[in-house]
Amino acid sequence: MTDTATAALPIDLGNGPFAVTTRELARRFGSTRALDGLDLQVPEGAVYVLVGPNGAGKSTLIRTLMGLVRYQDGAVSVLGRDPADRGAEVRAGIGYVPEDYRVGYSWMTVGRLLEHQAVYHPSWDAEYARELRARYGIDPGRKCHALSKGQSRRVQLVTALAHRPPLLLLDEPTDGLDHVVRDETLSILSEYLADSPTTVVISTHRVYEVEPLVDHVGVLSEGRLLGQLPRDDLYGGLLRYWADVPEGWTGPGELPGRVVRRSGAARAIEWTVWGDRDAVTRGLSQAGAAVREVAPLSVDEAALALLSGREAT
Amino acid sequence: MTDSTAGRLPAMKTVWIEQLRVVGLAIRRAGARPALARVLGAVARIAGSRRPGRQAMGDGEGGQLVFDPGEPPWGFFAVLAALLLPFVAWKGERRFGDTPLWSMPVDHRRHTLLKVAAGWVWLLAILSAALVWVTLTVLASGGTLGVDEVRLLVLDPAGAAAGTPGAMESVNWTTPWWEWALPFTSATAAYLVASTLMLATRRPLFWAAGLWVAGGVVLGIADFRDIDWIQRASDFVAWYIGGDSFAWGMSGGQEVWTLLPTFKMWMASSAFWIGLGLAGVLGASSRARNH
Amino acid sequence: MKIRLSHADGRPLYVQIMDAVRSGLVRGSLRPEDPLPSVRDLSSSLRVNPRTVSQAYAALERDGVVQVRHGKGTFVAPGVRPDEKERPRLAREVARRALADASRHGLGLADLMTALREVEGGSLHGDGSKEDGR
Repeated sequence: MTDTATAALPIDLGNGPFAVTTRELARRFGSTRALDGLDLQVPEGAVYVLVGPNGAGKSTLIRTLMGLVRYQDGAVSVLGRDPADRGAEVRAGIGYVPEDYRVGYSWMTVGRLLEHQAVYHPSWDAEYARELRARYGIDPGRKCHALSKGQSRRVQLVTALAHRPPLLLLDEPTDGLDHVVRDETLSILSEYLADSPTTVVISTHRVYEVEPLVDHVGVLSEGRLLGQLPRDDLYGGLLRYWADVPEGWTGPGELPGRVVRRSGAARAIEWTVWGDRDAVTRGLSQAGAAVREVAPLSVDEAALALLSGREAT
Repeated sequence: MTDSTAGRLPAMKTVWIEQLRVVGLAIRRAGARPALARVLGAVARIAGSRRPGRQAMGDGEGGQLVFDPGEPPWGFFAVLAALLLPFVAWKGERRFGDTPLWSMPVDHRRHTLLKVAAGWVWLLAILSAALVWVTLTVLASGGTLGVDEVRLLVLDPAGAAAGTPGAMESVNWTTPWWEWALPFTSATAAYLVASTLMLATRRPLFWAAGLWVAGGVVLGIADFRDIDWIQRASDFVAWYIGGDSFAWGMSGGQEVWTLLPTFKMWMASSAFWIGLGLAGVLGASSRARNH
Repeated sequence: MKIRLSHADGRPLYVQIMDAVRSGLVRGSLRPEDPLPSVRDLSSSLRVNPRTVSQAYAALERDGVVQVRHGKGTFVAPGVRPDEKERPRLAREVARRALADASRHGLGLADLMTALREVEGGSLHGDGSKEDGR
């Protein structure tokens, strides 16, 4: 089953060009369907955030794109190649921050680990690596096993960025970072995006932390996309409508939009609807509701609405 | 993509050298140097010590040091080092998770084989160093390398126990050249088999112990129930491709031999066990890195 | 130029950046020919996608507020007359937000106007804070 059948929001981003695509991607672990007919489309140059609850398949998807997990069905293209049989070339173009924050070889020093990474990446920018290390306050003499979660994340970010890859796959990149370091990370990512044409896929369940960087959103649930669209489309098309309604109001027979979530009290409703703002407002008004306010949702709220709306049905 | 340097693959030679360096570093970090020194000391003491048994058999060398490359504990040390090395070489690699090795822009299978090969090179280097060191120690003290002795070969165990004449035979034994290569081939085989367990299983020690126990149980049952084909199979392994000439830690008594190793047996057993190990490593390395 | 972005704000980020440039002009902290921060620097300090900043600058350029000089950066357009165009435009933007906020609370334009005059009068007499505190 493909996403189109179940998605509440559009999932087709058109004709690209795409840095990453998957078609009907499937992967099971035993009887669990981690990826269940997933159609991912990440346009070149996009900052694409994958949102979803734990266990939605975000990490499996990213690891599949890295060639670390073998997929069972469908097709995958990363930077124009299939990671299943050209994994080395795919990985050469990717800066990867894994979900697991433990850094490589526990017994290595951070400095040696960075040297190790540099050997494997001919495009390693030593100057940039030094700059990042300084900004993150990383001590190269430290043993990897002695790093805290946040320090490990910083080292992983340095190794992901320093070879200046055209594609970044960041799995929970802000996990374990304190406010200051998270802020610094966003600033570093902004500069990275400004400096070179880059596609970024960020998986997180804390979208608000990276929201200002994001321009594409994919909401993932149970191995399937509930929606995949440019952030601006989401901003303009998925809106929350507050309206005063008469007692016992049952709603319009038909609304020119898709109701993603219904909530609110008896005489004051709060609906989240995907559709044209004016048409939906008119539809609600004609059904006897006095629309008081219409407001866009943050990516976080939008994802929550989609995910909880799904649970309700 | 537009950037011409991004996405370039590292040269295989660079990767190979880096793996040699990383495995070497892992060995050093594992505290292998002091351990090696201790083992070498022990090997030199025991390998080179006077063996009263030999004197009784009339090799007449008195208090001189004699180093026999074909006998424990020297061979025991080689195999032990070979069995331990994969654990050191793969230290810190989450073989079933996200680890630098799998995340690097190198084909997984090729990368695995390079790392195994790097460990093997270090194994040979360590054994060579140990051999040179022991040799020099023995020579410096005026001892002899290799043995020239008379061995008692048992032809009929029952008769020998009863003291029947002709049940045992005296054989003049001079250390053949290939016994010097024996530690290297047996260590190579042990290293490959241990590496296979390391690559194919999450808990190699558990599996090694499990296989050992399972083998013992099967042999025990075969013995108890007199299951002929299993006994014959184990005899085959012990005699013709294995045990006795391949790992002489398990070989019979030092004075009384039930079988003397031959060049053919060494070749056959080396080919068998190294082949088995290689097949294991190749098979395990092509297993995709997925859970 | 000081820009504070709010993600709770209903305006898209690029609009917030545009409004910040406009209010800089109205307040006089930005003058014609002044350089604006580079896309890289501004996106880095705001922690936003550089495209958002580019989008804001491009929209401002279309409105004639800024000029992109290739190889040099972005500058406030020489002919900008903040008081003629930017001030009323910014005022309208603030008014629109105030109206929307009022409507959310069930208030109309008349309520808002009355309250605005009262508050303005009150703050002139220095008891605006008391009003708030009640």
